[in-house]
Amino acid sequence: MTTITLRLSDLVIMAPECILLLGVVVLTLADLWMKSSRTSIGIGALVVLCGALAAAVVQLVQETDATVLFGAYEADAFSSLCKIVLLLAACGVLGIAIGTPNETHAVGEMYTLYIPALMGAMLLVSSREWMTTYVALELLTISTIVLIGMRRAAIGKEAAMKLIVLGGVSSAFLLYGISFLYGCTGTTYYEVMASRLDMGQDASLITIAFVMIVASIAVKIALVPFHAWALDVGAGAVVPVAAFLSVVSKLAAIILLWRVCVDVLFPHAADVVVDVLFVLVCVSLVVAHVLALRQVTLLRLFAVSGIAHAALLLVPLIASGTRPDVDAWTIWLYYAVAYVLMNVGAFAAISLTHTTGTQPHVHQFAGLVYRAPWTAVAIVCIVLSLAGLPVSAGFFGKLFILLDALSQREGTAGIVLAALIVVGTVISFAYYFRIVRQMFWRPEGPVPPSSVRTRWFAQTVLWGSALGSVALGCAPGWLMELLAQLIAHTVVS
Amino acid sequence: MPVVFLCAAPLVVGLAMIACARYRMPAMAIAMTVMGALVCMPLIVPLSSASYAWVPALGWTLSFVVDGLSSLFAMLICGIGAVVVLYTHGYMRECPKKMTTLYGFILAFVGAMLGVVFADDAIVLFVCWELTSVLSFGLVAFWNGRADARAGAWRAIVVTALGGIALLVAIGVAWMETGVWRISEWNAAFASGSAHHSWLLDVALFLAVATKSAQLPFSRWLPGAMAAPTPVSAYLHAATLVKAGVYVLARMGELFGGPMMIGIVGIGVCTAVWGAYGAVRQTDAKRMLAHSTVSQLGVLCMLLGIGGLAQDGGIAAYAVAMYHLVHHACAKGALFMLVGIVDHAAQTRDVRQLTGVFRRMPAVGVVATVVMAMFVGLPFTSGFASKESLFLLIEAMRTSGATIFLGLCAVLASVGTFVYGVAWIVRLWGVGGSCAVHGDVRAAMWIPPLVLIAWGVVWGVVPQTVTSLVIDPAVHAIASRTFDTSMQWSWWHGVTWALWMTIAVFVLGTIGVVGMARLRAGLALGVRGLRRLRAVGVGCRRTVRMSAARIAYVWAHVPAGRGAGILWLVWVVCVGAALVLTVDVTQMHMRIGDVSVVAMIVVAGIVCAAVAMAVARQRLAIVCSLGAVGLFVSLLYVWLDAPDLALTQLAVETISIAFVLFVLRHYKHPPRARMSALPVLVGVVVTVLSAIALIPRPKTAIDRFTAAQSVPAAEGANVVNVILVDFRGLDTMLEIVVIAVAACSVVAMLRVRAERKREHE
Amino acid sequence: MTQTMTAYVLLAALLFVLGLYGVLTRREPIVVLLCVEVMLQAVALNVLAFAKYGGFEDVTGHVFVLFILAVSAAEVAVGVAVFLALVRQRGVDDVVKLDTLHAERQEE
Repeated sequence: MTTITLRLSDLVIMAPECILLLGVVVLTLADLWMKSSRTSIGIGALVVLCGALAAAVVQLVQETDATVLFGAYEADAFSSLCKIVLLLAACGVLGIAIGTPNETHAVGEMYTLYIPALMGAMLLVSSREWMTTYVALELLTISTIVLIGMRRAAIGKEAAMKLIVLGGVSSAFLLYGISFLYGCTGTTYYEVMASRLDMGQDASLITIAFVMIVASIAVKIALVPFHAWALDVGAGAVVPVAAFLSVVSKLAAIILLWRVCVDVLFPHAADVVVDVLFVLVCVSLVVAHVLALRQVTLLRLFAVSGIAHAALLLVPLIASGTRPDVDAWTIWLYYAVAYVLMNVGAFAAISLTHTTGTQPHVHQFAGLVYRAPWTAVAIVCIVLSLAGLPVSAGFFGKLFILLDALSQREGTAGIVLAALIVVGTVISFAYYFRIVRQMFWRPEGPVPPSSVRTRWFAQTVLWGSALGSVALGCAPGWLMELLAQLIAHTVVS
Repeated sequence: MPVVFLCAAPLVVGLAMIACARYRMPAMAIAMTVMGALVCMPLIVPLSSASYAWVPALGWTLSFVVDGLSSLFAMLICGIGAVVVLYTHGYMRECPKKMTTLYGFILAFVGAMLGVVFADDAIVLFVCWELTSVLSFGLVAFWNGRADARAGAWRAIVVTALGGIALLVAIGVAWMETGVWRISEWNAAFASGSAHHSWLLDVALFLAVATKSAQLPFSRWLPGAMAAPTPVSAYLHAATLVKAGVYVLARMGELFGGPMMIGIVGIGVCTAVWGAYGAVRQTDAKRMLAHSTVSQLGVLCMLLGIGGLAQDGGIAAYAVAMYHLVHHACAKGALFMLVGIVDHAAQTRDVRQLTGVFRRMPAVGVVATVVMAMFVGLPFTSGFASKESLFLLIEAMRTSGATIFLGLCAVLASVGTFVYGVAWIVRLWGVGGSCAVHGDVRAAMWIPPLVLIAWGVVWGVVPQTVTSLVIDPAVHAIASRTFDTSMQWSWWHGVTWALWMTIAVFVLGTIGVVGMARLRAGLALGVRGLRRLRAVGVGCRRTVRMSAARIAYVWAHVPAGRGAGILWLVWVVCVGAALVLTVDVTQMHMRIGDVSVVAMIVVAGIVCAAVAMAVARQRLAIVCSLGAVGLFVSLLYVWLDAPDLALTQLAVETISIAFVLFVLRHYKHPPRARMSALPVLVGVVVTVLSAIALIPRPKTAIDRFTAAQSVPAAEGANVVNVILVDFRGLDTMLEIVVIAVAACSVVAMLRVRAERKREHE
Repeated sequence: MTQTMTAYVLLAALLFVLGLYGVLTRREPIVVLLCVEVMLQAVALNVLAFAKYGGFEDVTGHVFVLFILAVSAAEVAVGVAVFLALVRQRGVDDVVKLDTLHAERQEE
């Protein structure tokens, strides 16, 4: 039931976010007054995330479908699923973070600040109104900026500065686009706006507003002409924060783009928006892979390869052209899960083999097979998934997307997309297997000290994602059916 | 279920062994047990086609097909696999630590390969196909300390992964064409004409076949993969892995269009000749065998292509192909094993250093001579039968230029085979040479090649029985129909063209062996010519790579630097055009009556300040003009019925500018005189603004809904409060978190100073 | 669109474009930050113009501007704090260039 003011019952609908909010307040106070250790704050943050996760799962199971504040916030099956994915990813990131040597000015903030950032990401998923969207986006961005800027080394602050400027410019573009839409309709709610927009009257104004909105979200996703920041910022952050940027932030921005396209943009200018996105995705697929070939610093490498994965995640959207059907949503969710698993795993691997005080480099994997064979096995599983080789989650995700592109989009566009995906995959073998090659083949020299064996949280994350990738690869049908069943109701209604 | 077990059991056991390689275990016993079980199981539990649900949403099933073709391949895989497992035991005795890993890889490979040949669902086929690539990567790179092993494995995985992608594309296209995933259904659909051939399908499928089966121009990886341990070469690169491409060609024959089949025949022939030529040039025994394998694979592809083109269903060609396949797998496997024995004893594989080695180990020499005789096709061996039937097949074809070319090439390839095979044997039996032989030959190493040779013996004794048991069912499966006439074998066909061809092979071959040295010199001349061609290729590749790097570099750097002005210009033109299109410029008469004079002044101020900001060079001037823009804009809010917002904006702007000026204090030479102008400016503007804001104004914007709902819905009289806390509660909550985060960051950043102080102390 | 509103919208566009020009051409982080602020002010002006002349009769636009102001203030605060920390760590001259990350890319 929709209410016009915020009531106590609404907080139940927003339970995952509310738990996060309460958690961050409690943790900050605990950090200030109790002089507790860093690790205990980190574990506390993990507990808070688990609480929110439980709430999201309960909502999913109960098939909650409700809105808050005139429909500014909507909790349905799809958003609950997205939240679960985001929460799992954040749990992984926290797992990586706990136990890393402190390279920041922060004490407990290094853990507690993930929570508001995640809250922003989750609200982006549920938001159906531009103001909420904007503020949630800024909450995500600013929290991330602070996380990056906390790094003690100067490059962290430099990266933070870059993100502030770029985030600011992209927000300005987004708002400028929104302001035109507001001017045409007098509302900021997606649904009302979509019903009031009139392409006959203000066609060019609406079109340019749409293009600006798409472009500004593309900056957040770091699609190709807007990608340069992602490399620098990724390289400037500490490993767990880089993981957060590459997984949670990126995924949230992609979900936002889906939401906005489906709710507002597609009903009015599907062809223009799809064309713009098509160009962005194609260019991203090509350029990201070529750029990645040149990277030897791991954070840069994964920042660039993340762009390629993000482009893949947009393929079901542009393949559908208008309103995506259950299949497109399911395929998207499947690849999102796979993306989370393999990227969180990859960053866990980077963090585990990383020597404090240096930039993560491919060489850090040298001879890992001889130092820590089991860890190496897990990393191989993850790399297989990243490269899209069978039997792994990444393989099936890519395959589903490829087939979707071929079957949904008739004619040249589908074939171009499919060809680019295939070519990109082939190129990606070269740079992903560089890691495997390092692990197996480098002669054993003096190995850099690393904390592979002692960090149980990061080890758990690594193994969780490796096994998850393999399991999803073995039984993709199970997850696909589950997802399709869960969201069928939402998409149809 | 038996089929699934057959594929899964070795895979699981193998992977488990790789994982537990560091523990001691009777690896040989385990491997032998598994292989024994594989060989015996079909005798106890009859295999049958089966299908299980996997991903119903997409129509994928775990379906397996058991027919003559897959049984024939499975027989090869399991039989030769068991032999190789035994041989490995002898070969690896010096290195027991790595034995478990090697066995694990081999077992896993057996499972994957069985998966390839039994799969009916295309996706299952693809998954197993890729698994074989990955496992062969591990096997080739087994001696990972050696640079050539690493390079060879790398090249192999790159080429075969490319083929895997091509296979995936082919599967996708075939699925789009037919809507199903079962290979058997595809064949039916394409054969009946309900699905259409396309060039994409042809090319993709051919790429898959050619990369896996080392056809031109993808044959380079196979000689490179010879860095693998010899049992692996005997198994993967003679009997199984490289035959996977041939298998797909046979299994999906209907999917190829006619023109492509002609192409396959052509490429097969070229590969056959090229491989023989390469083998003659080689001095390393294993690399020689690899080139010869390439050559024989070319023959197999050619045969299957001829079968696909034949009007009568191609039964004869298929039969010859299947026969040649089995013959080659056994003979080549045995040859590899013998080379391994020689290598073990003499510590080298270079033919030039091995002169006379067989005189020191005559038993091995005799066996090797017999196998080679079989291989080059001396009369009364299985090789003779296979070559003879190939010539007969060509003879039976319609006479044309193409047929003659085909015949010539077949003769040429056979001559090559004869030359390198006989020359090798002659050299190794030769007089002189100082090659020392160490140790004795173990039973585990000499029994396996003998077992493989037994095939030739069995076939020689009961040719018709073996044919009807093994070859015919496979041919049924390929030609997808049954037939009454079995293939007839005989040693003598009368005086035919085939006979002359055979004689030509022997005569030319003998001349070749005698003139081996001259032949080598002549070939070297050709090689130099080829090298020159390759230099051109390298140059092209370098150019492409450098331009790609250049483009990538430019892409990465575009938004940086002052050239960004161009981007800006483009953007302005775009937005400007859109606005002009929307807004009717002709109606724009700015009348003073509409907008008050003060507003006009404010607007002018904004424009001036903004332009000043854009052109100013000095740091402080820029900051000041930015501040002025903000202040003037906040003034403008008053005309837009938002005095409260104007005040907010004013406060924000003032604080921001003050904050920035505070930071600018850190610059080296703060121009103090100009800085004093700013507070004055701020003071003046605030005064003016407050005065204007306090002028009583008529209520213009009335939010009826909000005002009406304020008390009943939210029980608050203050509309602003109600909006922020109730109607916009969510956003306000978020905003508070944003500000809290910002505050946190400011505090944390300012810790830098404290830390630095501590460091100084 | 009424003519007065058109004037406001064009003014906002001018401001937005000039702010963008500053962002793209200036190298000093703090100046770029303030240029971003100008872009946001342009947006605010746009929204308020629409709110007054669009005939919508509610306060959505005003509330929107309020949020833009508050959030952008937080952004500036974070930006200046980061900048300050950087200045203290590196000294002014290095900060103006801000190209360590860029240099790292070129080394590869």
